[in-house]
Amino acid sequence: MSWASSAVIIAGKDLRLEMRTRDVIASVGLFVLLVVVTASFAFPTSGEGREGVAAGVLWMAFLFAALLGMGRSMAIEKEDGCLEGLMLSPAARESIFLGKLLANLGFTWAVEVVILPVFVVLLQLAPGSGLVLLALCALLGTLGLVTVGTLFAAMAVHTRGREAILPLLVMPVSVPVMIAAVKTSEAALTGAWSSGATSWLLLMVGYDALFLLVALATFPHVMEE
Amino acid sequence: MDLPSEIGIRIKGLTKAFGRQLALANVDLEVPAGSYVAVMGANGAGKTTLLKVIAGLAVPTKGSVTIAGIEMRKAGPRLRALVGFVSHETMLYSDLTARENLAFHARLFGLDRPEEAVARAAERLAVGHVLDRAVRNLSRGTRQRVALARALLHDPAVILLDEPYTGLDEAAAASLSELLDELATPQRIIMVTLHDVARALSGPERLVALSSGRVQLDRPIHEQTEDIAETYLALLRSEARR
Repeated sequence: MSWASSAVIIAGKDLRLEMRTRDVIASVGLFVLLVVVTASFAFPTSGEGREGVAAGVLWMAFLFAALLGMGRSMAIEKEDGCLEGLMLSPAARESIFLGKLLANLGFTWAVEVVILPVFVVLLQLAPGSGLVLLALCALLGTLGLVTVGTLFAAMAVHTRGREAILPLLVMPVSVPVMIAAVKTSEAALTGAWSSGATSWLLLMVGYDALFLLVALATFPHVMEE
Repeated sequence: MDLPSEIGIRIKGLTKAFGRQLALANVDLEVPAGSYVAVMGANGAGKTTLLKVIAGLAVPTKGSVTIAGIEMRKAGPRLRALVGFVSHETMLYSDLTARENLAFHARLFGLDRPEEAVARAAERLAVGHVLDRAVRNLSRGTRQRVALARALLHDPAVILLDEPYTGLDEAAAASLSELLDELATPQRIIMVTLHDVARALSGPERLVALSSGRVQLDRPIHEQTEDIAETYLALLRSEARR
């Protein structure tokens, strides 16, 4: 069986589990909504630099939301030895990673699709055609965050304080993609896309590709006891 | 990778340590095709670790484990497809139904007709009537039977069962014994960890007893079962005194 087929089967199982419990979507969605609503009260309604602050708030919310979701997604595999069940299957270890990555991306993107319009309305932003670029930034930035997070969630799952350890592992490594995501989102929100913003976007693409390869290469070793 | 037609397990100088704790110490064991082996020993003797290393779930600290002459860790997917393993944990997603769990594993094993495989395994383990119930709502014994169905879905040539009778009532335990007797064919290997001496002497054809991670007893069970039981119990008593 190909990596892709196994990955889709695993992601499909995660989706089915989520549809049944709504654990990830509910907790993550509510968390991000709370952050955005709270930010909207403190947010200046006019003035220079609003978009930069807004982009920072947005990505902090996305980062913590992704951490919540990924931690939960891997914790489900730890319960009742389900991870061992996956390891016993003929599915390549890499496809297990891809399956978990697909599912985590699906959940995080789903939350973002709902939150982005709410965020734009509550913070009284007017991105105009920049909304498409903002969506692209969210797509690429989230891919980087979730790739790193899925790998580290697998590392942390065998540890006792995994909920505490996961952010400690992910945050330092995700600094480059977070900065790039904030910078590009700010450019998208102001409608002043520059060559500098394109460079940040390319950095995100490079980051995503690099960490996807690193994760695929290291995940089989991470899973070995 | 072409696999030899005959499956055999060869364990050479197997040592497994968890930090300073030695779970298995220089274990040598040959398990040819057609073997039905009871692995016994006190708690912490290394039974579970032994099965996990054979299944490829734990990495040996030293030594090697081969199945059909191929090292499990290096073998990849095709060799893993030959092994069915039941551990203390059910490996089932508690929020999915028994059917969804079994179908998921059947698909992951690349079975041609997953639904048929699920129905077959469910019938074999008499869990057909609970297939559409969430695993979290099943009793301990029923969950254990679904876990057994999961392990047997792909008709594995090597069956590794870690205390499979845990949580089963008398009738279910008797059915499991019958099923294992039925599965014990010349092409297959069954290794089952047990605590009950009477059960070990009534089905399996060989008894391997571990103590402190070492093989202390390795005897065929054809005759002199009382003698084997006495020797095993004496081993347990001497370990308890230590």
